[in-house]
Amino acid sequence: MKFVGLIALCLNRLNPDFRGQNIKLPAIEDNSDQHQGICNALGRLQITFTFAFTMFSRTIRRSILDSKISSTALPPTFLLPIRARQFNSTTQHVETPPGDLDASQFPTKSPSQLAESAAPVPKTLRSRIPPLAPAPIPNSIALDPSVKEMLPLLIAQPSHYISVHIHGKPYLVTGGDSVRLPFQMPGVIPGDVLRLNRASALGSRDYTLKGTPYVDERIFECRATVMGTEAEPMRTKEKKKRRNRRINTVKSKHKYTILRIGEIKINGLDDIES
Amino acid sequence: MSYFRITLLRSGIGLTKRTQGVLKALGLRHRMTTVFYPVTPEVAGQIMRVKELVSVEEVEKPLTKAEVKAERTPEPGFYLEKAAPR
Repeated sequence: MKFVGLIALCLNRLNPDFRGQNIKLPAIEDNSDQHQGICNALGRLQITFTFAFTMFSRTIRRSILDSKISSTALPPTFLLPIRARQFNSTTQHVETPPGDLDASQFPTKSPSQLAESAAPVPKTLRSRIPPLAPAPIPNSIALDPSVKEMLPLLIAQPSHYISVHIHGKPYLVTGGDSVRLPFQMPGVIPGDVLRLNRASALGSRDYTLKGTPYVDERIFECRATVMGTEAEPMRTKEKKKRRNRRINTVKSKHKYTILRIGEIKINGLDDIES
Repeated sequence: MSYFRITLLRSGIGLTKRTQGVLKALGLRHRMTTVFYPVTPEVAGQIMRVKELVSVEEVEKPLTKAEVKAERTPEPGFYLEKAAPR
């Protein structure tokens, strides 16, 4: 069981493409642990093994050749720093944003109408609502010939990664990832679908499309669903001045928005230029 | 009419009072502040006094403080495509 976990971890480390499969392997492991006898579990282990081996034999070979670290030297997944956070244990805080969103503020109208409806919103409230859809880029703007040449090759490869920029900060993600933003996004509630339209890199296993500084937003479609907010454990800091006994304790507990990245779709040349 | 766009890149700390006075007169209080002045011999002379500390560009129109800030703010990079019922 442990070994399967390690293989999955190894794959995950070396190759972000196989994250989807990585999720499946521990699931099998859990089931067999809880409900089935040892024989059955062993059978499953074997199945998992052959499955893993046929599917990723190349990757395994690569990992053995490439990495100097043996798989036993790697810590289990739950001890990796990114998983060892305590955030998962805290309860979810779901709140509706204070300024209830008016349906008229959503991108169902043309940009000119939007400008009109957005004008009377007071400045404090306007900063609390998420940005509105930008005007579409006219299809007449042609793509770079090198992009045109290589884009079909990028599309042909299976899984993709994307480096999306939210407020100027990059997040390297693949489809199905969940992202904990380092801030609470104002004006969104769980279930909202955000369209991410700034990416600095878009790639697959062998190809990467780099933006200058951003990739043309017609090329890809990347959506994120707001899952809710997470709260960090309460932090306390003692404030003490010299030559004075008074101690002030400052408490803080920040909330962070969680996003789930949807499938990354890359548009073909026909879709972009038609 | 063109304008100087002056940005203070290096602080005036440790320089003579006279040089620091020029920065104060230009309204450059701390690093990375940007000010706009019309192109005149007087302003050109002031810039010459602190030329080691500032970057100067000639622009057509002065920007307001808000516009300068908007220039520096990165794009949000997302927009609300489908709102959940609230």
